[in-house]
Amino acid sequence: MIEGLLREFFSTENLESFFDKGAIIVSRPDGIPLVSYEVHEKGWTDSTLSALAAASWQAAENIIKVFGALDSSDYRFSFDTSSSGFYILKVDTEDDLVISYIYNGHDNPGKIKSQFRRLKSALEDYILENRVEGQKEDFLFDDISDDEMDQLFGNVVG
Amino acid sequence: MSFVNYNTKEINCKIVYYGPGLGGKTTNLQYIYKKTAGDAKGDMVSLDTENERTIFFDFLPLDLGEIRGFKTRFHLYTVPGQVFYESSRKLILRGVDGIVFVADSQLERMEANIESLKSLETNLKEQGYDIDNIPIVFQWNKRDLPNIASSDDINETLNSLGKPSFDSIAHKGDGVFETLKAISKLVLLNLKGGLKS
Repeated sequence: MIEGLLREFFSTENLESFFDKGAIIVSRPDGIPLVSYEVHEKGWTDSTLSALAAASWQAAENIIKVFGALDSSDYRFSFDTSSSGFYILKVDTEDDLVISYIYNGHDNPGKIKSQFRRLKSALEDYILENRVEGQKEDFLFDDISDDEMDQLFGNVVG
Repeated sequence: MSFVNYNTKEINCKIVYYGPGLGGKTTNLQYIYKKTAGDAKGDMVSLDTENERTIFFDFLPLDLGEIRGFKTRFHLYTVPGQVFYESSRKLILRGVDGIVFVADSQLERMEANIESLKSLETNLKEQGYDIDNIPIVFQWNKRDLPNIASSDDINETLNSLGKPSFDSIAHKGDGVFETLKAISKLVLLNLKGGLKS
């Protein structure tokens, strides 16, 4: 499973330089977060950030299509000042994942972006080397009763 | 496309509220946000204009409890309803697991409903989905307004598929959670086991 591969990869990498003043999140193209890493107190939710990151990338991808053919693996999405910003790269595998770095207070963002691009390349290689294809299974649930649905919603509706 | 994580026993699903402009899609999400317990929801994000028309999407992550040991997380989106945001709607539909079509019950909005439903069908087809097979429910909104079509008439006009449909008054919350519950059930029943490592 891709999520397991991502966790394995990040557990083997030294990410201190990124975590010092930022956060990393890997998202599927539909905006669902797969993994996220950050050291700051959580001021945001993975789901929200991931939805925005995937949407930003897709919007940018479509804007650039104005010029015709697109090899999006070469593009980088950047929204930044001289010390803070948001940087997105596409992970060039069959999953169409995007990896985002949100940072604040870096003295040399150019350097950290360069390191981030190397991290992305290493991640692509890792996925390519370690991916094991699985088989689709049958439906996860044969049946779900109305009572189960009521219980599911009963837990959250205030 | 849904995501089942067997390691963390977590299910992620994407539900998109689709329909004509000013039909009540954002109002549905706002009501859900308002009525959901604090720890079950994330921030609601709205990318909209100054006069609160959706320009890209609204987004609300919702952690429902567990079902048969799986934590369920629903990612709710709305699309912008205005006709000229077609490209944005296509983007938001990417990876969708279930659709709530929010129709405006007012007679004068019936053409807009039909046009929006056609656009949904086309956009789904472009992404390899078949509207006959994807989980979808219909919501006939604004039932409190005076100049509305009967639910039977709207059903006949828009719901030739015979999918579940619900009357609603989204700003009061009538029908909002009934609709969400119905689409959630269809989506969960449609989940494949996923890819095992």
